[in-house]
Amino acid sequence: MNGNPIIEGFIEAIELIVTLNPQVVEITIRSLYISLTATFVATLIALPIGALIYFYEFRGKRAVVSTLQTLYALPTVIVGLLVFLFLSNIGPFGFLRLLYTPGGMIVAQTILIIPLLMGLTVAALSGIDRDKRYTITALGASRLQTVMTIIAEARFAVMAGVLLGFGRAIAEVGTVMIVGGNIRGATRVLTTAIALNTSMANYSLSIALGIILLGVALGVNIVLSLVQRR
Amino acid sequence: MIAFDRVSLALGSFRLKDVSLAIGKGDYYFIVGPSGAGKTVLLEAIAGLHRPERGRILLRDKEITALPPEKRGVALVYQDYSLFPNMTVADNVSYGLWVRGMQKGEAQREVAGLLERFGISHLADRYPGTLSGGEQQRAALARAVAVKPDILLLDEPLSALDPVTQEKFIDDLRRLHREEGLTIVQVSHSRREAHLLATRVAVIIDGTLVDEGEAEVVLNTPKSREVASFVGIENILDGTVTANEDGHATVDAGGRTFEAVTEATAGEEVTLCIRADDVVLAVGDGRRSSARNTMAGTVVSVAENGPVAEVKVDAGAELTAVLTRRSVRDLSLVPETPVTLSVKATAIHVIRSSSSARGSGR
Repeated sequence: MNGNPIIEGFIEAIELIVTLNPQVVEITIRSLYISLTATFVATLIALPIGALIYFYEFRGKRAVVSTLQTLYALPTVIVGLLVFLFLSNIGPFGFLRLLYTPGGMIVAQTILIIPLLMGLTVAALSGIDRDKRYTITALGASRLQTVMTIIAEARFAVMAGVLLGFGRAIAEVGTVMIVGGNIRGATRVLTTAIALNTSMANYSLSIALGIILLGVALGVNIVLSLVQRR
Repeated sequence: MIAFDRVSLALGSFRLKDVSLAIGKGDYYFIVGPSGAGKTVLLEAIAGLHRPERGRILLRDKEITALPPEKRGVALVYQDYSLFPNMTVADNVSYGLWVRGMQKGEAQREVAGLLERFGISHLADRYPGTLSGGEQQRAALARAVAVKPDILLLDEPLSALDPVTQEKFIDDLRRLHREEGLTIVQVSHSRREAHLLATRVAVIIDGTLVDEGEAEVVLNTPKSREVASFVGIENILDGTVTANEDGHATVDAGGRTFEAVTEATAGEEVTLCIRADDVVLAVGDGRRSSARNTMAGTVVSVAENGPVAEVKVDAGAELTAVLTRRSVRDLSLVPETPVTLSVKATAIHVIRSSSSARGSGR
C-alpha cells in the first residue's frame, strides 16, 4: 500500500462488498439475524406491557413512564456487564450456557431495547386523542375492542418505534462485545468486527462493514420515514 | 326519554353542579354556554363516559347511572369528527356494526345504504385525511347513525366548517331529525344554530344549568342577565321601575325611560332585554305610532353583515337595531344621522332581579 490508506481502504472495501466476500457476508447475516431476532422478541414483550401501562391507571404511572424514558439512554456496556454477570458461570443463568453465543447476544440486545420499545409504545398510543377513545367507546365497543382499535390506529407509530429499536440494536457495540466476546465465525457482528479491524489497522474490512452498517441504518431510516408519512 | 336528577360530577378541577334536565324522545336538545362551561362534560355524562358523584341518570324512567357507554344506545360525534385515519370511509362507517358483530355481507349492504344517504358513496375507499371538513363530518355522522342510536350526541358539529358548508350541514341535521325522528343532543355556543334547529335548550354556565326549556322561550325570554347576554340579546339595560299601573311599568334604564309589560313594582330593580330586530328606526321626527317607547337619537355606526345591517344608535342609552341593507340605503343611514327609535312595550322582556321566575314581556 503506497497511496493513501483511507482511499485504498475504500476501494478495497467496495471490492469486498461487490465480490460478496464470505467474511463480510457471514458477519452481515449474523448481525441482521441477532438484531432482528432481538427486536422481534423485544416487540413481543414490550408491546403488550407498553399497552398495559397506557390503558391502566395505577399509582406511579408517571414515574414508570419517566423511568422508561430515562432507560432509552441506558449505556450499552452496563447492559452488557449485567447480562454477562447473569449468564456467566457464577450467575443465576449460567446453566443456560448462553455466554459467548448468538443467543446470549440476542438476550442482551433484547434487554437493551425493551425500555425504548415500551416507552415508544406508550407514546404511540398516547397519540390517539381522548375524543377518539371516547368515540370508540360510545359507538359500543367493549373494552377489548377499544384496546384493539386503538392499537390498530396507532400501528404506524408503534412500527416506527420498533424500527428505532432495531436501529439501536444493530448499531450498538457494548453489549455484543461483552456478551458475545467477538469470536470469529461465532459471535462477530458488524460493530465488533469494525472495532477489532480498525484497531488492527485492517481498514478495508472495517470500511466495508461500516458501509454495510450505514446502508442498514439508511434502509431503516427510509422505511421509518415511509411509515411516519402514513 | 333521558333525565338527569341533581347530577354532580368532578373532572379534575372542573365540577358539574346539581344538574337536572329532561330530554324527551324526538327532541332536538341544545346545550349552550360559553367555552369551559361544561357543555361537553354534560354531553359525555349522557354517553356514560363520566360517572356522577351524586344524583341519578334515568333512561325511560330506568336508572342507568352506572350503565357503561356501550350499553346506553348512544352515538357521539365530536367537533374534530374523530374518524379513524387509517381506515377508509366505508370501514369507518361500518365500525359500529363490526363491534356489534354484524355479518360482513349485511354490514356492507348497510354501509352502502348509509353512504348513499349521506351523499358520500364516491368517497367509500378514501381515507379521512384526503377529505374536506364537510365530507369528514358526513362520514362521522354516517358512522354514528349506522349503530341506530336512541340518542345522537353531537359536540359542536358545525364549528370547524366554513359558512357555506355549515348551511348545508344544518339542512342535513334538520332532515335527519325530521325524517329519522332521532333524539339529538347538540352542544353549541351558537345562538343561531339553536334558533335554527333546537326544540329545547339548556344553558350551562360555569358547570351550573342556569336555564332550560322550550327553545323559543329560553332564547327570547331568558331568566337572568347572564343568560340574556349569552343567548345574544343585543340590548340589555339595567334599570329601576318607577311606576306600575296594571302591569304597565315605567322603567328608568340607561338614562332613558322605557315602558314595558311586567308585574315588577315601583322601586324594583329590573333588567330590560330588547332584541335588535324589535327596534324600529325612522328618519326625522317620530310619527304617531302605537309603539310606547319612542326616542330621538343619532346613528353611531352602521355595520353591514350579509343582507342585514347592525345600526347602533345613541338615544341616551346606546341601542342596537337590525335592519335590512335596503332599509339602511333608503333611509340614508350613516353615522351622525338623526333618527327616531321606537320599541313596543310588549317587545321588551323584563327580568326581575328579585325573582328567579321567568320575567314578562314579548
